Amino acid sequence: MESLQQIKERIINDINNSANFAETEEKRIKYLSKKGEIMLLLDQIKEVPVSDRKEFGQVLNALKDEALSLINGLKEKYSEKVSEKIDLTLPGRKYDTGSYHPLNLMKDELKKIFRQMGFSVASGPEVETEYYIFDALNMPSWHPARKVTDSLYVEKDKLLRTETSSVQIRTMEKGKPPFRIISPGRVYRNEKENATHTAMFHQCEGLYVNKGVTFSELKGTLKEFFKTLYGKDTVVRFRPHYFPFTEPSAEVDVSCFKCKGKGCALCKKSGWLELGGCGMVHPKVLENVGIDSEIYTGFAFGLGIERLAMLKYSVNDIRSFTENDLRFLDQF
Amino acid sequence: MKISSNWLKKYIDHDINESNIDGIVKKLAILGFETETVEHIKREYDKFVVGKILECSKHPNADKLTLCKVDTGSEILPIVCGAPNVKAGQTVPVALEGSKVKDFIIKRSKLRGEESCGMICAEDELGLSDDHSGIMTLDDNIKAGTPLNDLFGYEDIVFELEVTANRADALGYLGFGREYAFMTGSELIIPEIKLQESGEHTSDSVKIEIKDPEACPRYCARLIKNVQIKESPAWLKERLTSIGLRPINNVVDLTNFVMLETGHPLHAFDFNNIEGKKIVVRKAVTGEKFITLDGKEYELNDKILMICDAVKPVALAGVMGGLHSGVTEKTTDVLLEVAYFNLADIRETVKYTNIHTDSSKRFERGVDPNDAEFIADRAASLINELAGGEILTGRADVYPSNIEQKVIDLRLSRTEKVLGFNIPADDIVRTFNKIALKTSVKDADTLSVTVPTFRPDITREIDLIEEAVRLYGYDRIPEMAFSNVSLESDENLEEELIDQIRGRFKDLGLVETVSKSMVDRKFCSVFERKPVRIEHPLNEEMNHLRNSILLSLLQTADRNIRRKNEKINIFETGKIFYYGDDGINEINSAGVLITGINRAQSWNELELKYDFYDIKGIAESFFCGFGKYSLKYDGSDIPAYFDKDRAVSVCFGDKKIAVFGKISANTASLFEIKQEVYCLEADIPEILELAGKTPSLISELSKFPRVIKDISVLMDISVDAEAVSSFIKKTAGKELTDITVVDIYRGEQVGKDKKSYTFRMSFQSFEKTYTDKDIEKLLDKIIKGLKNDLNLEIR
Ligand SMILES: [Zn+2]
Repeated sequence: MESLQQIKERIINDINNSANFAETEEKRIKYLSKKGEIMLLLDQIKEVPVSDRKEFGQVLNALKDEALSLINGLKEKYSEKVSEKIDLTLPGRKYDTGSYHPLNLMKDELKKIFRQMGFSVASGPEVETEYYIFDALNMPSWHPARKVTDSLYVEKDKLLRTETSSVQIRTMEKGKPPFRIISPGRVYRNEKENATHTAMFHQCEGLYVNKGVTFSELKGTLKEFFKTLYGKDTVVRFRPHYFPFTEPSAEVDVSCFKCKGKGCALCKKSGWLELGGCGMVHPKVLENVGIDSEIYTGFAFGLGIERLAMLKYSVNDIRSFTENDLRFLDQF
Repeated sequence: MKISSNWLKKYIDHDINESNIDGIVKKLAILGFETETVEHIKREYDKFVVGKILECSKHPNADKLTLCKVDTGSEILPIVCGAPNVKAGQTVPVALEGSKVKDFIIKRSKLRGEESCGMICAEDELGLSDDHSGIMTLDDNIKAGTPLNDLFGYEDIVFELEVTANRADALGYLGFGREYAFMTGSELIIPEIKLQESGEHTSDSVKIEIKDPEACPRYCARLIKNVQIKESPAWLKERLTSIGLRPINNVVDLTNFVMLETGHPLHAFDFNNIEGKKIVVRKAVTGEKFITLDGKEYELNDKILMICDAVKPVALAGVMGGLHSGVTEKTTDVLLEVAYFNLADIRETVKYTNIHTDSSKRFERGVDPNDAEFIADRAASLINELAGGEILTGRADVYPSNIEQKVIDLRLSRTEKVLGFNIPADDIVRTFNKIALKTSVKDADTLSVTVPTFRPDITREIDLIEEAVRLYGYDRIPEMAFSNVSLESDENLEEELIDQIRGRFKDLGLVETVSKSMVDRKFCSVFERKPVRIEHPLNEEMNHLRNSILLSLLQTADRNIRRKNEKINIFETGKIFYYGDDGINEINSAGVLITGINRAQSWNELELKYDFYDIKGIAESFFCGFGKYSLKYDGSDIPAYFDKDRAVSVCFGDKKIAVFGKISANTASLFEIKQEVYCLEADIPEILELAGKTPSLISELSKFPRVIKDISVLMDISVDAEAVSSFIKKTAGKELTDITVVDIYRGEQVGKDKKSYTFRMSFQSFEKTYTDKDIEKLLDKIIKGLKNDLNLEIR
């Protein structure tokens, strides 16, 4: 009778002699399947004298492991050789990835930066009363925005908001200072549309009211924001301007992120990009919502989301945003 | 406002030229005056000289041409001229060989056989006016050969300023000059007035009656008699044309000149057309008619302030004169009006008539009530100088209650509190005085500032603080570190949910769109909510507000289909507007639209179009993301813009929270879409409620193996998969962990009105590993139930 050692040599030899994948598989069935030789031998363990059983089991289990790894190794070797060559240059299966609209991408970015700077996001109605859009904001009766033909009125005293500042008024009305909010959203003007103007666009306005808020801090805050947006060497410049709801007011210029202030086509050779308006909340506005302007001061600013997105993505025509051509949107 | 530097230089001692203009523009911006455009104007006459026409004779071959011999100083040239007014003895401008006239180079040539060595020019050919009626004639005292450049050559830098709405004072050269002088450290030069009066007192010649002193606090007039109306001299025409105004006649041009100089509009009437030698300032009577000088008739109301004579209105106060009251070439006596009107009354007229003039623009923002004497005298003396005549003695001036200068305190501590940095008191006093804000130190913390009446924008302390920092220099404002305070605030749940919804749709492979809220009414009609109208839309495409988010998505789909984009898979979130029981409502809504080709044909795939099960899959994936709750799909009560046989409502409890399915063919055709369109629509407040309720528990996982079994059921065509699967679920109990349909068969083998569905079921126990017997028992129970209770056949 064959000794266990002989059986082992025979089986290993036989497996080693497999010439291809199919033969290797045959050997697997021959030795390792339920009715394979090794498995049958293992089944006979009960017939082996008790004193030899342990050794018998160990040897056979070792053989089983060796045979299995040998077969697997051979299979791997042979499958490499026989597998069909595939054309790796054929296009892969398409998966839809989806995309966000560029204006919302820009809005999301602003929200993220301002949230990191401690601002929370407030929202409010788009159809507003004249009080929240004009009166509470100290808008003089002659201001062009008040002309019924310049704004989109839907009823007497009801119009689509021309600024998101109405959200600031509503926020201040509801609570007590301090306030630190941004209010990104849609605003409307009854305006002829062209490459740089649309009747509906998006603004992101900010407000900070507290004790000791100053014009210098406003400049520092906007600088911090633009540094995060455009890089740490960004410079912010204020120019005097007039807004009814802030005083002192300023227009905000930011050093061109493309040419770093040297002058290029993007900044029309000036080195500066005009990116928004800001100022100290007019004491009249604070008084209108019952805040003591001697104790509290505040600043407010407004940024045009379309303008920022046009600069960021090199979009030349503002109307592209609401045209929603998928060939345009797929690029974001 | 356009500023000609040649003109500005009359009031300030500062040079403006090509080399320093860029620096000036930058400094002006820091001072608060943005420059929109800078124009370098240069009129040069190269190879143009003054000539004398020595002889004229008829061209032998052309009736309309004249042969001239012209002395051009250095030689006598033959020139053929076509002008009707050409005569021997005239002094004329001549373009010599090689000069350029309106893009034509003048050459020596033969005109119908006669030699011509130049061209005698008309005014339009020299760019001096539009006149082409004949050649221009010059003063005979000018020598032949004088270069034309010496006469008409001209250079100027004109820049257009953006003057902010609060600064009425800067809408005049003197007001702007005051700022400019401050900026450059030079002095403002105020023109000297040389006035020669004679005859009776003005107030004896014209009576002024103000019936509404609130609307017209001051009316001041001067009379100049026996004037000669004629063309303005070159210097005056140059001033006006340099900033784009058309010269008319000497008197009208001077009123414009003085308005631009001082920022205070004035008006000249033909005094012979002022009946009763009387000016009455009153509000119009409702229904009263008035024709403005441009010939347009207006029906007035009782809010419109009018300037009238004894019988009729002669001008819309501060805005525009009447048709027959103005100065014409026949005028001999001029009544000059320098008035001050209440800002609101002028705005009323502008708003009602929609007339915007240089005059109304200034009165609307507020002019100086106390400069009337200077302006009346300045204008009268200039008229006297250019049009002759006699200025009557004194002024007729009605000014019942004097408008005083305001005195405002400025606290240094407050200034620092607002600005965040200190501006020394000395600096403020010095700079304020420089721009005529008379400032003195009141106490250690307070400056007392007297605000001249030409600065109506300064009414309280904060206005002075702004002036202080403006004059200090916005470029010098230090940056203070931002305070990174984080304040507790109400959570903006809806805003956060919208972002979550957007994320979910994007993750489902959809493309986000942003559409205008304004839409054409015709699209609103198919949606159920009552749309909101816009009152004065610029065009019909935006006369209403969208009353469904699907409206925007369908418009976008149509636009993309037209542009041959084949795969359209989009979503949008945003406000929709409609009339509810309590007026206008606006809510956030979310929508999805898919149409066209889902998967394009590829080497390993056939083309796949979007169908109902795509939108259903999107809906299922979308809602399952909010947690495991039992949402029901219900085919009843579907809005009409969906195809009622291809759409389903999603219900949470009794509440309908969304609808999805195929858009009805009628609705699609309204948007001119011919292909099948599938949409999902949900009101965000409803989802907010759902998201708020979510118990987001994770179910425990079983350790025992899962067993999968298929069962094919033969059923009537009318039976839904849901009916069978819910029966199976109920029968199998909680051990059935999943059930889905893996195959559908219809055909001859099963009969015409039948179909066979194969359900694949997953079983898993929390207690044990199933034996074959356990499974058999489970299946048995299900099959028996299907057979007995539902009368279905198992294949
Ligand atoms: Zn640049």
